Amino acid sequence: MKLLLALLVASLALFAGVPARAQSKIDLVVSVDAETIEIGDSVNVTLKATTSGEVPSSADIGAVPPSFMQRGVSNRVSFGTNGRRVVSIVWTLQASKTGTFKIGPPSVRVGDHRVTARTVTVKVVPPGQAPSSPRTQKPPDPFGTPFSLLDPWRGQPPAPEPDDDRRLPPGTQADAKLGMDAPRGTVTFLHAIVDKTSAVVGEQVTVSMYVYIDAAGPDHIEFTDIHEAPASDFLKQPLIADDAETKPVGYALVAGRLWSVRLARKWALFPLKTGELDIGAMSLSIVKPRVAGDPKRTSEAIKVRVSEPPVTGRPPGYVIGDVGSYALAAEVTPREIERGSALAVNVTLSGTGNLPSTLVAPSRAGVEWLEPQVRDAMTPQNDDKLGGKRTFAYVVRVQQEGEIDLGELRVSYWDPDAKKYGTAKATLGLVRVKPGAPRLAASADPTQETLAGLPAMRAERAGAKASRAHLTDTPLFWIALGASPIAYAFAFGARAAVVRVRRRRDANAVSPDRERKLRVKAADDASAGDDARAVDAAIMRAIEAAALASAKVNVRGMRADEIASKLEEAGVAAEPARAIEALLRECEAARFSPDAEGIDAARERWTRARNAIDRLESK
Amino acid sequence: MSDDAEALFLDGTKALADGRAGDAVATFEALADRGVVDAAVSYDRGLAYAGRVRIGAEVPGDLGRAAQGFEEARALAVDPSLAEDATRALAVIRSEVARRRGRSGESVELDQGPSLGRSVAHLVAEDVWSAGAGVASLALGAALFVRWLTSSRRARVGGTITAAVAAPLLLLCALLALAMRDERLHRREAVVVTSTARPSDERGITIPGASPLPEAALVEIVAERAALVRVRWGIVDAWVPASSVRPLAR
Repeated sequence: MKLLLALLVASLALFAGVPARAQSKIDLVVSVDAETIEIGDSVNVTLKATTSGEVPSSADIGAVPPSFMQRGVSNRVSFGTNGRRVVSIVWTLQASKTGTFKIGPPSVRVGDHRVTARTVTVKVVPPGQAPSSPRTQKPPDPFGTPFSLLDPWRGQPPAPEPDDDRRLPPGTQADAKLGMDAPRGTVTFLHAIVDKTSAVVGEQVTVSMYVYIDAAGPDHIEFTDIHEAPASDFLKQPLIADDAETKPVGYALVAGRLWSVRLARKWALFPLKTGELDIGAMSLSIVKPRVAGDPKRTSEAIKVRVSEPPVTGRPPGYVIGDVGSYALAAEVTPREIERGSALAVNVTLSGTGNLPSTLVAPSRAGVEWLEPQVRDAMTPQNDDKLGGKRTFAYVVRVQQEGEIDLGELRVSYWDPDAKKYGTAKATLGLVRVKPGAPRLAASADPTQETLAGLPAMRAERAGAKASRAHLTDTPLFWIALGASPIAYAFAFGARAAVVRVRRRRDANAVSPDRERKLRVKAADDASAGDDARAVDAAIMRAIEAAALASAKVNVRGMRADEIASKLEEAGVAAEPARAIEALLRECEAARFSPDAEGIDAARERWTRARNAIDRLESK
Repeated sequence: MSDDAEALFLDGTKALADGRAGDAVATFEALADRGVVDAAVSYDRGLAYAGRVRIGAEVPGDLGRAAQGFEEARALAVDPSLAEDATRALAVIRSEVARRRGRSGESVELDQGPSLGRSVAHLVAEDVWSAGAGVASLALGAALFVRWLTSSRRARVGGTITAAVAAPLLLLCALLALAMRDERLHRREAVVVTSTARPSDERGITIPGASPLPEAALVEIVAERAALVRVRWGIVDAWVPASSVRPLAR
């Protein structure tokens, strides 16, 4: 960087025509644009050298604390009315630590001597603690031609220029086309404008990137970290050089405020495919002046809807992407050659739009077209359309004798303005081919052995197999396919289900027999325990249920001495009837006896009761 | 075919007859752009590309495009003689490709043939498989009912045997009918139209050591994604650039 700066200053000296060895007084003034800054902010250290003699060179900022990072250096020279020259060197430093720091002293070389200025002090405070007073404004340099080594806009926007004066020339008018509802940032911002948002493949879409600068804002802005707008789905051709200076295009009213507008980029984009294609955002960061908030400025991202030109009326040989307006001219020399020798065909394709880079040469037997040399002369036209001409220099070898018609070159295109197809044509005409050297036997007819045996062409159209319905296309087929096995499964399953339901219903139904089973089971369960009274109670309920189920006699609530007779009346044999009566009496007595008889006696009663119940059942 | 397409077809055949193969190619391609699906158009387009090769004005990919035209004609043809001519022309084109590959020491195998499953499925027409499945279904149902409802031992044995045969037959026929239907509706075939269709992975990175698919080979398109298509050719299952294959019109 130092070397570059030295070379630059030296070149300025040459440019200024300063005598190399002139000796004169030099005044050095060093200043900073802010004595207190916040951490992360930048400070500009300016060394202004005023001399009437030899121009200083090899500027050096001197000692820079490690907590400062140098972000850029700019340099300018201006010429005063008194013949003195003013060289200003501005170092931009970014602070990364709080504290008070001494920077410098900066120095320059004049002749064999190095002249040193004073050091400057900068205080770095935490965010939000810097004083709100505006920075020291650099006095405008009415003679300067500013530029910055790191400034991709080549120092634009510069100090006042005749067409970009912050003080605004009288009668300045805002351009309504450039107006916006609201600014996209403070101090300066980017704005992208596209001439159309729908196009066909190959149709030029012009994108302009404008830099808007607050007309009442600072007079010197530097940018860094520039990212061009990505447009990978387009063929991108600059209409102004990307590294050219920004061009003032006027003023715009944005939210009632006047902004100076400069054209930074202009591209002709040719869509390469169909769909909704993206033109990305361009971005850059403001280095100077310090702005509140994010210094990054980003343009709008744009979407372009791209389709194919219509199929209707599309000429044979049309290639998707050939869009514009073309003209074709061809020159064939010489017109008379010997067989086996070559002739030159120079074709010029001119027009606007996306000129094709290849042409389809007319194919004729015995005529061989070699790869052409292609030369481009494409430039932006008056209406911002890319245009010009492309020349194709062919060498054509002719292997057949006689009058050979070279045919016609054709390039079809879609004219987006006229909304129709066109075809540029150039007739190549006849050439006379005289006999040349005798043919070798093997090459007597070069087409003889290639693809021999191809059948003849068809002059009548033949149609195509009609798509007919198939069984498998109808859901009915698949339903029918499964119908009989499914019917079987359904019937079988239904029957099984019916049987199962019936059994379950029977099993669950309330009946004397079911009641008897439940009571017998309960008595069994009770006898397994050790509660004699519970066993006796269960025995009584089991006997009552069994009498009801088998003899249809409800012995519950019946007097004990009439149980046997009632059972006998119902057809029960006398012996089991009496046994039941006796068992009920015993159980009754045992249940309510103050002295419990013990579980073994109860179990014995249950054994007898089971026998009696069985005999009732077998009645 | 509309009048415009009819006129283009006449222009194309005239150009082909006059030996203006380049003009014929442009005309038949214009017909394809218009969505004209016709066996004769595809066949003549194949001849136009082949004609450009014959007269020495070959453009890379012409043999593949010729083969694509003939494959398409063969698939679309109703007239057996046209299908036969297309098959013959296809053989001529593939012989030329094989000859060129043989000269450069590459494999001359262009036709991988269908898989065993496809061969079996194509033994009979789709509707025959469907009918077979229907008959097997009826037999299965009847056999099951007989086996269930009858008390005759002989009838029960007969029902059991019939069901045991009909059930797998039903499954087989139904699966083959389904496979044929799926192929009819979804299978997309294409022809390789460049000699540099290098197989790559799904990221588009060329598979090391893989040979390019031969020009004029018939491949199956399995999937498509952006500028890549996944194709199957014999045991090769890989992605290739979409521009390196041209699908057959259906």
